[in-house]
Amino acid sequence: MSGMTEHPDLHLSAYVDEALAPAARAAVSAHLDGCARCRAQLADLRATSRLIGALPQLGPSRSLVPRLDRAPVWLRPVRLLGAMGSGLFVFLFLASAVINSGSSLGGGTTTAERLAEKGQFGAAVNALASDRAKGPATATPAPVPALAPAAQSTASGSSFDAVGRSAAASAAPTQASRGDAASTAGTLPASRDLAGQPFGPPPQLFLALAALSALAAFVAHRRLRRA
Amino acid sequence: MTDELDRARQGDPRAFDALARRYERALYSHVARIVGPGADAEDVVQEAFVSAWRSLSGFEGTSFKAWLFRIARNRAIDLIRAQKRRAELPLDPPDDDGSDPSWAEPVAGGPSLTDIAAGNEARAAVESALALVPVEQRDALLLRDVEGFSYDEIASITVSEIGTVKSRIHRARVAVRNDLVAKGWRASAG
Repeated sequence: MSGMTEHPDLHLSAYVDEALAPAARAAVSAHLDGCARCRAQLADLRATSRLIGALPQLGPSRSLVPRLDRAPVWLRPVRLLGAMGSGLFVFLFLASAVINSGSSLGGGTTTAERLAEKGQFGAAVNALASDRAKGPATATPAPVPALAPAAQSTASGSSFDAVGRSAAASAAPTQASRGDAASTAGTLPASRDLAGQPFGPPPQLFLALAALSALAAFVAHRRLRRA
Repeated sequence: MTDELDRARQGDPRAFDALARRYERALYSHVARIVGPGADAEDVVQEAFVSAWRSLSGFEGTSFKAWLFRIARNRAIDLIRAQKRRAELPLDPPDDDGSDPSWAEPVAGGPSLTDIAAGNEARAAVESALALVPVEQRDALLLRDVEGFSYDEIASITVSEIGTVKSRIHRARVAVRNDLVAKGWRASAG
């Protein structure tokens, strides 16, 4: 390029791109004024540049932007365990409620105890006598429907009524006396502990755990859907 | 854009997502012309985005686009080098050996380079001519003619001297011009 007697070939592209320093650009311009060959090359370079610049953008076949707000990997297990835990705790709640309600209906006490609790003392004595007559092996708790005949006998004014009141009076009021009556009958309540309390945690605890598990599963599900 | 960039630098994935979507096609298009269109180019761009996201807090440049292109083209060049190593092919010829690139003499006939429109035929001819240009020269030429980066930006993106950038662009442009002329395009009258 010195003195512009040489062709400024290597500077022609930079001249097209206006990337030359002012002095170099002025020198190339001066050379181009008197050199048809360099003007032709400049025109070809400019045309080639335009052709390349007119190329269309190529498009990817899929989105290439990574999902950066993707949910943490532990959310899926949380959703699964939450859903499973919710179902399990609902089941435990129902099972616990059924067991405890069965217990409160008298399923685990003797007929004599249940009648005494209801104040039907005469019938209680009759039931106690009946259990004794059957012997220890058969003195199992009577099902709830068996109460009906005993209750009827009380209503009709049994001859044992007066005796029953005095006998059951010592059995009914306290837990200890009930325990004695049960041991007399040769059995222990099936769903109560020795203190007579419902067995296991309260059903409400299972219900609360079920609600918490369902909430965790729901929140995890929402978060996973948003990601 | 500055607001989005600031939020992305502070770790906002949605802001980065918006920025990435803005340059997704341009990045893919550039990388596809370096490594070839398809899964390789897509993987390179996706990995470049992930890399950019991870190192975004350290970005202190002025041009986010140039920074993204630098990451993507570096990965593309690495991929090309790995492929050439596996195939035991030689790397590109030296960029600046001091000699002028040869200037092919035009043949008679054919449309003029200065007159042809960018129709499908011209596009296909230019694409195939570009594919024959050595990778780093092609890279510099595309960054200039397609993406419009300045020579200084290209020097930064390709981690090269400005003189090397000038040489690469000129050689690549002459190579494309020569290939087009060899295919029958008519050069400008001298």
